[in-house]
Amino acid sequence: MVNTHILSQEFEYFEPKTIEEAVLLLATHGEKAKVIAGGTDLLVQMKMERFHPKYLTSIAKIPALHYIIEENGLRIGTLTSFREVERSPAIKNKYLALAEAARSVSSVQIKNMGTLGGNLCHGSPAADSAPPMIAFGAKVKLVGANHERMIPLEDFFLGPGKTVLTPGELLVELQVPELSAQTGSAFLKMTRVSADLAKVNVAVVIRRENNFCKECRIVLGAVAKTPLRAKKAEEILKGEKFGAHIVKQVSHMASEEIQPITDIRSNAWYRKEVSRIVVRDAINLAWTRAGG
Amino acid sequence: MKKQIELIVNGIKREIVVSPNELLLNVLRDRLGLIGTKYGCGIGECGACTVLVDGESVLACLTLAIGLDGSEIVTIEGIAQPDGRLHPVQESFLENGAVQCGFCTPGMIVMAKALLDENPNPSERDVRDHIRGNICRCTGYTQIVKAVLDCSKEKKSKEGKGDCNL
Repeated sequence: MVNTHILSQEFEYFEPKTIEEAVLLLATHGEKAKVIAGGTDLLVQMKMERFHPKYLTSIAKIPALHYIIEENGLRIGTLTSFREVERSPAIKNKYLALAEAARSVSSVQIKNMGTLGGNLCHGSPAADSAPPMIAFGAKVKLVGANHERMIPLEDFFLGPGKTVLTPGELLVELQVPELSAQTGSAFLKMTRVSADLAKVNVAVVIRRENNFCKECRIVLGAVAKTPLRAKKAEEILKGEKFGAHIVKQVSHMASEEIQPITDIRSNAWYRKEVSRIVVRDAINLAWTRAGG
Repeated sequence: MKKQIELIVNGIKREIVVSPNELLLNVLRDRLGLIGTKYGCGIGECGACTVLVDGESVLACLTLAIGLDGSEIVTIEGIAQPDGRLHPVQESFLENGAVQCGFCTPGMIVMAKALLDENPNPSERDVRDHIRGNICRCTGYTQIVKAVLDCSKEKKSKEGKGDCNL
């Protein structure tokens, strides 16, 4: 019987002050360790007896993981909370889809606690920060005790709860490239009530030139084992003259590409149906925002 | 391993020894006797356990106390004045009949205070958006939203009442 009143599991707790200390602790404890940042996902999973870490390494007190810097695009520290993302003028001005995704997350309390890095590392296919970040072409920096690697966020997710992170590795930073002029973005999400997780979420980034779509990325969440780029749909729109007819084709293709399942939040049929509409609306919104 | 931490709870310094798995919610309720903060769902969906940590609203049921060494915490018991005078938000909840069973009220009032501290003139939409993570099963929210809106600076100054943000 699950008891959510208390956290019944026992574990050792560490609070390193630097990244070096943190990755050393993680390397020492390997698979028995978990990283805790905001705790909004991890502690729920632990209460539900899905995870039983023997060692918890809190990264919440590492100042070097907490920043938003504008520098050839954006560099965002893994500890940045959803509330900080939604309020950041730099993100609101240039990366609106990301600000919209952050704003849409659960409740104010969860947005104060939850971090961008935690949202991604949890590996949920419904993670709201994943579609906009993938659509903007973000990369993540992973640091281990003796190595460091950068990978595109698109290649980060392997399946529900699974990512390429190996035991001992820490996601420390997200890097979002500079956007070209006349680029617009949008994030939309279907939920039952506003504080729910997504039935489907979608981010679209479009670069336009006059009436032509030069580049486009369409990324959907909660409709496959991982956040998913609708590449065939993107191909239809790329280089073409923009209009209602082609948007319809694109959104139909996106709905074909996804592989949704039926779960407590929605069913596969509905997700297919509604994805068409959400993708269409997100494309139109991103297009308008890309300017004339 | 247990650890001694120092918290400032409602303005009073408290030194307590906690285990790594102790939640802020239970430290407040069972160790410090502050039972105004409620246990609702325990998984971050209802908002009944909302408190302010260093000025930000967080869920006490998903917060490890051991990670809060040196933090300042405000619970529902710390919203009123030390002499017992109610905070204008609390007055407004009473005037508007925004309390029925009362279980969600501590979380609602803490959220309302946090909102008004940040935005003294919220719109109805702002209020509803801000309390979207606080579930009330009695009122249908109408009176709660009205109670918070009645506290806005604009409304108060029109009525010649004092500032809501004490």
